[in-house]
Amino acid sequence: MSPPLAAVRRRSLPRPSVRTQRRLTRLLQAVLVAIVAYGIVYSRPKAITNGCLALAVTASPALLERNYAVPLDPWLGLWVTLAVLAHTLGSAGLYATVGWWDHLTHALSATIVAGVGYTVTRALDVHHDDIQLPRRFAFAFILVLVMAFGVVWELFEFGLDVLAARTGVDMPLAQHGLDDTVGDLLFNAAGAVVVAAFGQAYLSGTVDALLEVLERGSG
Amino acid sequence: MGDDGEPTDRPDVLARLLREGRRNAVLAWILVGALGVVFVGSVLDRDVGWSVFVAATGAIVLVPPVAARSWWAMLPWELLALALAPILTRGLAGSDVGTVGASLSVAGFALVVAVELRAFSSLRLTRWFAVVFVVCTTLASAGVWAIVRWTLDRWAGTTLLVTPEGSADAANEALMIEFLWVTLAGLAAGLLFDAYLSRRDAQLRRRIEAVIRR
Repeated sequence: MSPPLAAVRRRSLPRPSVRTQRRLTRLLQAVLVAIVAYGIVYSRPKAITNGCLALAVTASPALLERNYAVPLDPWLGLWVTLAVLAHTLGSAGLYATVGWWDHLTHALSATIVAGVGYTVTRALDVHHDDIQLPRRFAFAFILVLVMAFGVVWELFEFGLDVLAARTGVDMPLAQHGLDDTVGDLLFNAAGAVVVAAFGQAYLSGTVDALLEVLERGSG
Repeated sequence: MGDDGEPTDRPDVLARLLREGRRNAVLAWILVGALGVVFVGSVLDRDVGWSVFVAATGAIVLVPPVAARSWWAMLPWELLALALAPILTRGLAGSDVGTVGASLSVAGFALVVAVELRAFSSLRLTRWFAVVFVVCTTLASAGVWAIVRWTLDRWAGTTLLVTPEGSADAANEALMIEFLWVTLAGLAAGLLFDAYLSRRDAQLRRRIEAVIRR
């Protein structure tokens, strides 16, 4: 990446200090924990699984370096939390009453999957000396990773369906026929394209900020 | 990601693709010809889904010669033969290969994509990541293929995903079972890709060392 461009990207979003970032991350994680607690208290398994998944996502950059003091970029954290919130609210009743809520959640989570896929890819790229991914084909890599994750996700949902049918236990996620499945895949593809086209600049900043912190932390 | 030094990686790509020379290109073009026969056959059969898939595979296979503007820039023929084997078997034998054969076809398609991404860019992979990468490419291809078939069903009146007698739920289940097979086929393709690359890299290293010693 050329330095002047990087400088422009950095300026595009306000970037709080490391300590504030860490606090914001904790705050967002607290919201996610609250969502999980809500799920336990009101017996909504969807809220529990989604909240836990999002918590795992917010912890992934730290796990990557086996260093739990590494904060998540607050904007990415906010983004993830918003999607989980949207999905949880949807399961709580909005999916049934608001027709487009489902699409909104799908689109939101698809962009996150794309964002996380891209961030993990770049982190692998920068941290593993033996892995080098070409920037010219970044678009193709994001598409491949997000589409692959979309298929894995559908298989996961299908597995839960089969398990639910066998055991009679109500599962947090369910497939609703072929159109629903392909709709998910379509949203995943669209989310990947959106992130690749508009989010690349921002995400580059995210990864660079993450790396900066990592280097400061380990150095 | 990586360094995008255009001037340095262009000759490298050509060298890698042209390494086998004319014999490789001729054998590869024979395989492309066979693919062409399968394509014509599927068009004559009015098999819309299969025609689209074979055409897409052909387009991917022809990326190197078009990009390099040379008839001789073809992928290694033995790799191409392996990747295209399920498609050619299905097309030339004229038999329906079922879910497993279709999964292997998708994995073959993905293998070509993975090899080209590696050949055309400064992509460097570790062994485990090479396998993961091919599995991801296979799953992604299967996802796109599902979208394409669904769209064809909807707008071209085909019955690729939903058969007239089957319900939407049955079609969904069939697609999921296909995805499971595709995952296995992708894993097989990934292991193959890894074995192939480590062999080729060892060969290349020996050749480079031989040149250096001279």
